[in-house]
Amino acid sequence: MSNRIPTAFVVIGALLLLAGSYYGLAISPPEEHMGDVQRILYVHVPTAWTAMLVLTWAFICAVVFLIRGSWKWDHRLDAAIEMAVVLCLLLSVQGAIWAKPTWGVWWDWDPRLTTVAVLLTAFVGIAALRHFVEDPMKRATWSAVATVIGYVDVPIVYMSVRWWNSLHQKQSTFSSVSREFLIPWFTNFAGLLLVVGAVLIVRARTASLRLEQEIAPPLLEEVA
Amino acid sequence: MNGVLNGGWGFVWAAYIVTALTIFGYAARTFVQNRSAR
Repeated sequence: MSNRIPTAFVVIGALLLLAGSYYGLAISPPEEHMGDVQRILYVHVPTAWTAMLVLTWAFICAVVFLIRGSWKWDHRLDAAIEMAVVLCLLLSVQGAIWAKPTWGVWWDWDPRLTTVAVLLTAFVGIAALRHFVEDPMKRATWSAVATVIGYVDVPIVYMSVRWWNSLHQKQSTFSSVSREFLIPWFTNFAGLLLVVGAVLIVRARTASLRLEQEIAPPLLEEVA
Repeated sequence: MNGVLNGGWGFVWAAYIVTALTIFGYAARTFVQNRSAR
């Protein structure tokens, strides 16, 4: 299957990320209290939104696989789990880089950070499970069940800043953020979505090819 | 101390560079793996 469409998504996504980052770094004014450090949020917030969408996609893939037992949903789940690990790790690193100049520390056991760390650990565990279980059906079923359980943490991550006292600020609303800040946020979000979408498509195709090779009957020469 | 953070461009560049390397590095790896799986 040709990768022309995913490649086009990556190119358009890269151009949008370039434009959004240029706006965020060169045009958008510094924030009233955080100054220039606030520009980190133009990549951190889109990463957080994309990570939450990918985790929700993983949950949908897991549920549909458990209901239908169709391999294509397992391939999509495989892709989503790996992407979720990458995005949660990136989110934590970006957060640490932002936390040092604003909070004075790289890390704090704050409710938001802790629940994201739990999420990252859970999905690293699920990715490891997929790596070590050899039977394809057991691997698919167990990882789908683990994904459904792991996803329980996603609404907790979202609500953590409201439920508990948190150093991390609450979610912003359109009325609380000016247009100069919204433009780089949404441009980078659109770019990231395109790149991540392309990667999910290609990674799911790779998972399908790997399964074909895994369950292919042995060649006659090998049997003899 | 006036309640406003001054400077910090090093942190800003670090965040953007880490983001670009992670996203495009992982994307490139995924496309290469797909080609070799075919």
